[in-house]
Amino acid sequence: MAGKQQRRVVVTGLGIITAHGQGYAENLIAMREGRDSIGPVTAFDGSAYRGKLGGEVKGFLLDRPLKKLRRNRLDRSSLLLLAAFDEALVMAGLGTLDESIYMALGTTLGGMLSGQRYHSMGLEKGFDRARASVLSDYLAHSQGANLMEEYGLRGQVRTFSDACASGTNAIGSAFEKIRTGAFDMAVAGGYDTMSEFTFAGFNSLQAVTPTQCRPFDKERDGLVLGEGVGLLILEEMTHARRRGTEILGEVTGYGASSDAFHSTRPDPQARGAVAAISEAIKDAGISPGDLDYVNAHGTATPFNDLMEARAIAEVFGESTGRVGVPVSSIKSMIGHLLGASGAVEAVVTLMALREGFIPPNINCQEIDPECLLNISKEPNRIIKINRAISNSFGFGGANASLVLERAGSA
Amino acid sequence: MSIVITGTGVVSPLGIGKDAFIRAFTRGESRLTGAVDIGARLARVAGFDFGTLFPDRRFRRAAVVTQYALVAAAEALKDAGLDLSTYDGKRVGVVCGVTHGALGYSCDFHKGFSTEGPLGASPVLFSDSVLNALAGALSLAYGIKGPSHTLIGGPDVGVQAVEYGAELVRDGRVDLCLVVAGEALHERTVEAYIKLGIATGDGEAMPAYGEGAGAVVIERDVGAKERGITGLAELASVATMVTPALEDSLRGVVEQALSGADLSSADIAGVMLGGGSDDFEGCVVGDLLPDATRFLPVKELVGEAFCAGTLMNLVVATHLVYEGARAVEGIGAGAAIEGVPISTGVDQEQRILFLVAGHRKEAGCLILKRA
Repeated sequence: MAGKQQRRVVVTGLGIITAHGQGYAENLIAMREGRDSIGPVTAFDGSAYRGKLGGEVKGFLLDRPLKKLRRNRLDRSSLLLLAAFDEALVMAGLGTLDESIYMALGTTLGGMLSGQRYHSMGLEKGFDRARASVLSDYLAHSQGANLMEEYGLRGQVRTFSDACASGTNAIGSAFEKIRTGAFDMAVAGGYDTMSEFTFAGFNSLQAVTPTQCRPFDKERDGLVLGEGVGLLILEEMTHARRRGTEILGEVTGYGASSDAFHSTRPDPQARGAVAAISEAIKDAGISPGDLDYVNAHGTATPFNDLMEARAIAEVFGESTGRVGVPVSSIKSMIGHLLGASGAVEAVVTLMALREGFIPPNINCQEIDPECLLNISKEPNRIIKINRAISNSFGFGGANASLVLERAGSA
Repeated sequence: MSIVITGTGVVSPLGIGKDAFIRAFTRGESRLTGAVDIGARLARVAGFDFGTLFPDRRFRRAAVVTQYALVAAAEALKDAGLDLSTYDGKRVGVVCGVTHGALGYSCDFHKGFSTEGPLGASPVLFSDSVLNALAGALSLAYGIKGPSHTLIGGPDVGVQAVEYGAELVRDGRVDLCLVVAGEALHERTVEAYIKLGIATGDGEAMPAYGEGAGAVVIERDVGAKERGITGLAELASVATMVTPALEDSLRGVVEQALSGADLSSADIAGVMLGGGSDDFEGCVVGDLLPDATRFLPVKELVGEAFCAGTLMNLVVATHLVYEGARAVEGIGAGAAIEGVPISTGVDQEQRILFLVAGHRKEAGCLILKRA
């Protein structure tokens, strides 16, 4: 194990599944060109709800035999996770992981589809007739355990459920584990599936748009739920170099905070968000002006976007505004992936750093004049960026930010 | 750097508040009911009047598991001599361990929209059913503005939460961290575990389930001393692990925890088992720590309370370390494990090791010693 001083944490593998499609290549094209992959939800009958749209993963297939797990016992969330891990391993040039690793995953509801199925059976037929076998992958730590089991992995595993900041905190904790020398390798990310449970929940909160997901638009009126998974393989830099694998990017800063304001609403004064963003920037040893791009949480709810705009404006000061650092929310294209959102957004931010583009904030016709930001709306905006920050803000006032850098930029 | 536990709190079927809890524990008083029609023994928290115990009306509609956690946390903070309203909230963190969360609210919410359509979906039930509702409520109640995390898992997640809280303190992200775990009994949980054939008692014909919450405050030794507080126990080391075989995980965490505390097995005076997997936990401890005194797991008296049970065990272990032999004698009188001799002689160092298995081959271990 390398010494504990100056340990740098690099990204060597990525796995991604979103409404855009399965895998890095498909997501890269769609993220760059600004494809709108949101449509009427099909996983259940959403027609009676205020919002009827979803960013669903279509045609997903894990078409390989499983080594240790029984496919019919797995929740969709586990299948998504396994498929993304397959991709990340290949990208990292790894057949499997033989050494002790740290695994941190973020999710809001884990195997909720399985839980819903069981409960529906009970409501319909009586709970004495409900099949408990469908519950074997319900609990939110089960999917990570499945991943460990399928690949015969060993190490330390943690499942974060910090609402919409889950994936970001999972990656942040893995970053810390490697930086402090506890581990040389980590798997970190987040996942969540489209379920009527969350759909009904966010609809009941009047947080879902009946029209279109338009982050930072003057007329924005709510979010669209999505599903998917984002996974990163993180390594200590010398460990990765010894393996001779390609370094895809670097994690250099992490910050987390709580609002202590309200159970569901963000603090309008954005104090918690400012604290998380500022801490991540300080942790990376840079100043706000060193950042070339902000991947915003940008849910498209009136409260969140205004709060985040205030936070960014406060942290970035004069470097923001209409000509300042570009800001965009990819939720406009794929929806809000809840526990997976921070992880998928980290993957896409790394993609942007590596490939040299800024993901567009689509559907934004007229930027809210109260959001004093340089919202990047144009598709195919090819530009070299060296450093970026990705923000996540969730229920319960959980805030988290990550600073990511292009490989070789430092 | 030494990390110490400066306050503990508990809500349990053995009593609300650690005095009542420890008193009933040392007497070995089981709160498990006899056979019930669902085929399990249950131990419920009795006499829990949230409005009296926690007057802050913002949480009167919160799920029971959140209310248990709030009350346990209030006791732990008071025990640690902390008034967080006078503390810099940015320097305080909260880490919660959760297994099932507010399952009752989840079921009611699901039933609402399933039977009545969108209008039957209650926003209150939904927002309080999310797994981090408990951490969010603690943050809100006490003005905690540092990191707020919820870790999900089986009984071992209580150890994970302590470990993560200790990391936040050790890494300087916070000065102190509130670590809480809660569980509320629900018929769907019990029914599912029974159907899945997951017994929770070694050789028990009928499984046993409990509920409640446990809370601890952890901070740097020097920080506690600056506040004029003496730690109840030092967190000498914590280890969590998962391997393809549970026995390897359990052995691994014991060895790692001993190594982390720079101790050998002979230095451990007493052992507590979580009871996540009695066979494996017992075998590993019998093999690696054959001479250590074994204390009664809380689970024997209150059933499987998952992550909350782990924090309850930690409250007991902290008490044993702080009070020393006096408490040990009490426990020796009423809490022998069948076939395992209980000695009352624990060395002056009072090092206690706690070991617990998770649901899926995970294991957690922590060692406490005199602060």
